[in-house]
Amino acid sequence: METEQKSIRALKCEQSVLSRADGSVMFSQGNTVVMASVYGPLEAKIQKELSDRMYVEVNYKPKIGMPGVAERGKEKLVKTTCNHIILTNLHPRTAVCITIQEMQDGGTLLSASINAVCLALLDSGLPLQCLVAAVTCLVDKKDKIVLDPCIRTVKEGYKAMFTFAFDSQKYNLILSHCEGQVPYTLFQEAMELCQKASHIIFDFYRQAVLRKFSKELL
Amino acid sequence: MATDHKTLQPLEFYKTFLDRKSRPDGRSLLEFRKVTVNAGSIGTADGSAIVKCGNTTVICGIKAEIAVPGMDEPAKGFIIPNVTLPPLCSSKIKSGPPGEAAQTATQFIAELVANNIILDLHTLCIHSSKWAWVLHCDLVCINLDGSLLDACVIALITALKNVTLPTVTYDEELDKLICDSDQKRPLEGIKQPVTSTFSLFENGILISDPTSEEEQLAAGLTSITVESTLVTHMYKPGGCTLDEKQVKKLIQQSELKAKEIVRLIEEVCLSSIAER
Repeated sequence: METEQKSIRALKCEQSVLSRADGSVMFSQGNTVVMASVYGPLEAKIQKELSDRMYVEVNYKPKIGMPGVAERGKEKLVKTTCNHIILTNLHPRTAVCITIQEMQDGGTLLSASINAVCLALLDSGLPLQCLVAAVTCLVDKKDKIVLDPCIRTVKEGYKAMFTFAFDSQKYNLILSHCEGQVPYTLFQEAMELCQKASHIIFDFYRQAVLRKFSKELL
Repeated sequence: MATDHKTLQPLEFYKTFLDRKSRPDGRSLLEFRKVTVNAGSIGTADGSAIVKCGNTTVICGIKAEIAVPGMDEPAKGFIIPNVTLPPLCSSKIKSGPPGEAAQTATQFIAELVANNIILDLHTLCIHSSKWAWVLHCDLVCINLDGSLLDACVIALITALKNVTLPTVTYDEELDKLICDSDQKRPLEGIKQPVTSTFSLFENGILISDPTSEEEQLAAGLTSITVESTLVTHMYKPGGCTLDEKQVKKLIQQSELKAKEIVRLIEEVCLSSIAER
């Protein structure tokens, strides 16, 4: 069993692309391009107001068509991840509205969305407990693990596709989403590979923030 | 005194039980609630099942119809799941369009179907690119007390095993479908994935099969689906983090539960076939 690709595709981002949003980012991972915006803390609607913490609302907008049940599934995954990483106790009775716009589907939309949201939250200045990095990997029909597959590999068919997200403090698992079946040993190997790859994404976040502030100070 | 404490500080009240490695309903931390399964109770449906996991009750009814397969997959039939949470199942559900819980549960089941984890959709095809079976699976929860996904998956599998379809043959010369309602046959090749839900608390405590009170108090939730020895789906929508040892422990617990549930489903299906 060999790994065909030991690294993830090229990461690029541009922060503060929207002038009115508190935080925004245009993020690309290979051919997958996603734009995320964060507005918050905002005044919450009375039905959604929580007395002890901030209410997190996520909207995922696909490129074509109206959002459907599949988009609700993605929204729930991103929303519960954000509930964990944002320090919601510091802003009770307010809300934060996170919007993810799919610009181009190059294969790994869920992990690109989570990474884009993390960068947008960094850009907005909301207090965070830790950062999150999501990585997708695929087990193809010959039991080879491919990290960060492009859309062509996905369309060729696979045994299983996993998306894992890790936190920046202890690199433990925050989010997990799988499609397909594999024996436990392959599952564990895929998770370890994704965990190692998440370090690359955390380094990238650091670089992005450094670049942003060095530009502002000049 | 205890009820005052429970209302004012539910998490603290609950933690006094967790410290003694037990829970308010008397279960140990990794113990599952009793599961009751009944198949074939709905006469008007082509297949049906009722499942009770503790108090959580889900009814699954399956209706079959015939349709033209999609152009991109001409040899595949369809299974269309729909999870409904009517307001009578829980005080937290309001009337109106399906809320987030119902939509995410539907998406969860739809993903299991799409990845051929429940049934190979090719077996539902009558004649490639001409006619295929469509199974509408309606899962209605009539009492929501945690672990919705566990009950839904068991109900769906049992109802599918209970389905009998009339034999349909396609006459190519006449371009007609000939349906023989007297000759009914069950579906073949239904796999048996079993989902187990666990609640996670901040200090590394894991509990299995949470009630809806426990789900609300928890810092995170995960649902693990296993099928014989294969890990099918680890659905962990954010929340408190897990390290590798904890993931391994949860998967082992899921495998133990899966063996029990598979045995139970087989017993139920055998007895319902005997009744017919």
